Amino acid sequence: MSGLLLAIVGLPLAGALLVASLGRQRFVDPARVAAIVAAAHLGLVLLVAGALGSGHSPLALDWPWVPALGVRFALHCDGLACVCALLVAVAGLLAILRADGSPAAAASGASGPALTLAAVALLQGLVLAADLVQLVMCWEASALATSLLVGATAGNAAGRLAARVGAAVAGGGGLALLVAVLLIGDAAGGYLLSHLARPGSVLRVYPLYPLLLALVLAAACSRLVLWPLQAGVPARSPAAAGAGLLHAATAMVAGLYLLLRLENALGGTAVWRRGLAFAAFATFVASGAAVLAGPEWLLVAWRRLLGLLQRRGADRRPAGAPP
Amino acid sequence: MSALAPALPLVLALAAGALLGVLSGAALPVRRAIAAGALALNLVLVLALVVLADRGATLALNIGSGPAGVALQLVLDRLAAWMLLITATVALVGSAYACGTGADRERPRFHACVQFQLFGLQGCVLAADLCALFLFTEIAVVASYALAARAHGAGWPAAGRRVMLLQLAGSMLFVGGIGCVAVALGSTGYAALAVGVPVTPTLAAARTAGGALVLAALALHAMLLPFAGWRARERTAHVPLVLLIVAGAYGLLRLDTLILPCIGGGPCGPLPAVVPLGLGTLGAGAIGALAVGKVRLLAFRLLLFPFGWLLIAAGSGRDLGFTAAIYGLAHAAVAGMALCLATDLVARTRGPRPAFALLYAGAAAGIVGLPPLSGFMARLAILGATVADALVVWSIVLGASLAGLIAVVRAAGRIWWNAPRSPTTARTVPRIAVAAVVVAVALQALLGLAAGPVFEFAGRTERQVIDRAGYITAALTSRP
Repeated sequence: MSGLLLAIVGLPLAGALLVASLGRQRFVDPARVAAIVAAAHLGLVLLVAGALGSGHSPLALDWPWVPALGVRFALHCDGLACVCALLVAVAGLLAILRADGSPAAAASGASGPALTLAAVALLQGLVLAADLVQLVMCWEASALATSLLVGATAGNAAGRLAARVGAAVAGGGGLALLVAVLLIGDAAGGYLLSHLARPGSVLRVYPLYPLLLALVLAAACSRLVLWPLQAGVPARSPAAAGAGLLHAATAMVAGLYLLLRLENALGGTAVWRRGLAFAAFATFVASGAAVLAGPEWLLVAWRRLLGLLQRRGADRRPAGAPP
Repeated sequence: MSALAPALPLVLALAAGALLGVLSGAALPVRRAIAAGALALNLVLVLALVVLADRGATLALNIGSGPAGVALQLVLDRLAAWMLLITATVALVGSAYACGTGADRERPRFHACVQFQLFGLQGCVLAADLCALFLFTEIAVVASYALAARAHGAGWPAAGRRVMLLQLAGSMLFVGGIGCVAVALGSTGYAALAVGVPVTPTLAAARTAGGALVLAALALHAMLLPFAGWRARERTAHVPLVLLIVAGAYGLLRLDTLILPCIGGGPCGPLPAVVPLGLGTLGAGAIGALAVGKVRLLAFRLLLFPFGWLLIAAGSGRDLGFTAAIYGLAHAAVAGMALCLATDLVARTRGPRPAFALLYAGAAAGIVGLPPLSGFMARLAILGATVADALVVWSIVLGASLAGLIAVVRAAGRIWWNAPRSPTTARTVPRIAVAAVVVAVALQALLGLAAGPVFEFAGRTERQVIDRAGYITAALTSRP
């Protein structure tokens, strides 16, 4: 059963390589192959979800990877990971279906669907990771993959710039998370999530707890579009239909998953609660202020007003009068 | 037979180089077949040497004995075997790419130059004597001039003169250093240097000065901080240059562990200057990467990343630090090669090439430390090895990574989009060249995924190198 976990990560990855190798030949449509792979992948995740739902114990898999650095290749799937994996699988399938046929997708050839599948595989690696270093690796790589995808399918310069800023912000968040994970490894004596699951976790009494918390929150904010890192998701890329959907949805999943996963080990303190509440409130205020102060808002409102006035004028025109 | 083993790759490269030089008028397939055969045989030989060295023995071979203790001595241990493997792999993949782009069609002596450069580099790796090191370095540098002249194109004569002057200055430093050391100790062999004690304070000062001069010359080849950005515009990043830098870094590692620690007379340990130099090199690379716009110039700045990491690792303690440096040698060579080849590939093609942009992003992502490529593992090990100075080292290493990431994303986006869109200007690139780039990027991924066994080997190498006794005994007891 735990081989299924490997398949959930491996199938989209293999699919990405397959789609990328299709290139620009005319016989097989890369987007169609990618859609089939994504659908099969969703089926796999549903299979695991069904098993978990019917009372199967959480799936786990643990192999040594780099013993010298204490890094293991470990996957596990409990309820939280399974919900996130389902979200990622659905978002991946929808993104491939949505992008199919758009001019930007046609220009990118096989690269667009391949990159989408690779991003899905990396995100599944993120939510299924049982080793924190592996989580960081998937975090960084998936952020880069979805940002590249948005940049690749963005129709205009503003969208590409937004994707670039998004990649830098998410990459910076990944570096913050890397430092946080190294600190957690120092405090807990290992990078496995099971080290953190022990009751009375050592992290809350760790001398560098405030720094650790700040780093984790910064990483989460970079993916959750929370202030002050709200540039993480390129909101202003109008043409990035499927890619934008995947990027936005999966960034939310990744950020929320991180916070929920570390809640037991790090959360529960006043600093944690206040930090999160402050980030959310500041985002609320900042986005409100941006909408009010932005020139687009005034322009849109002015045009609406003009349109309304014109229509009212048209309504009042007597029948038979020239328009 | 096993006593002669260290010389076999050198003999092979020299013979193949001479044969290819004589046959420079032969048909292209003949030359290619000979070159490919020689490089593949070299790789096989070197793999056998790695297995041989991994048994733990240190093999020494004395080829003749010159005047005043000057001898051509070759010593093979795990570190040397590892470095031989790196050079052989990079030479094979780099040559395959060059064949793909038709470099050997335009220049009949291309393959001969590659073999001579390999001969010089592998000689540098095996040399256990400062004179031999100097000799092999010069051979490698001269061969790389010939290779570089093609990589640079028409602008080479003027730029090449300046680079040659720089290298000549390095050679003078080298010769001066060797002279000082020979006067102080009566020998230039590494082993004699490691155990020799000068009899008077003046001679001790001469040994210190000689060590510093040799170090400066190697730093010039390895493009350490004072020389990092020097004449960067004249030096396009290409594979022979990467190999030269890796060889310089290897020389620094070897001297840092074997000879230099004890030169100051203090306790044997890593040189105190190595970590600041590495941090400075990394910082210079990061600032340069943000500053430049052209893809070719960016590659040259990004090349400084793995070498900065390597020095930081080498200077930060013995255990994990030096293991990370040994892993970093392979990472620097493979990632540098992947970046150079990918840069050349995208610079050659016109028209939108999303697949090539992705290849470039893959190659460059490894060099700035993005997972799951070798760069991430190398950086993780360095961060783990520098916990003691975490505040300074981690901020610079991670800040540089962020700067590099921004530069790479910018460049990849530009490659994807800013190319002319009309298909008529598209120039086809032969499949061999593309395959070579794919192999280079895949090697990076392989080094990252197989980091477990590689780090185990690096750990064994580190213990052998730090021990020093095996190397010194083998070198001192070998007979010509």
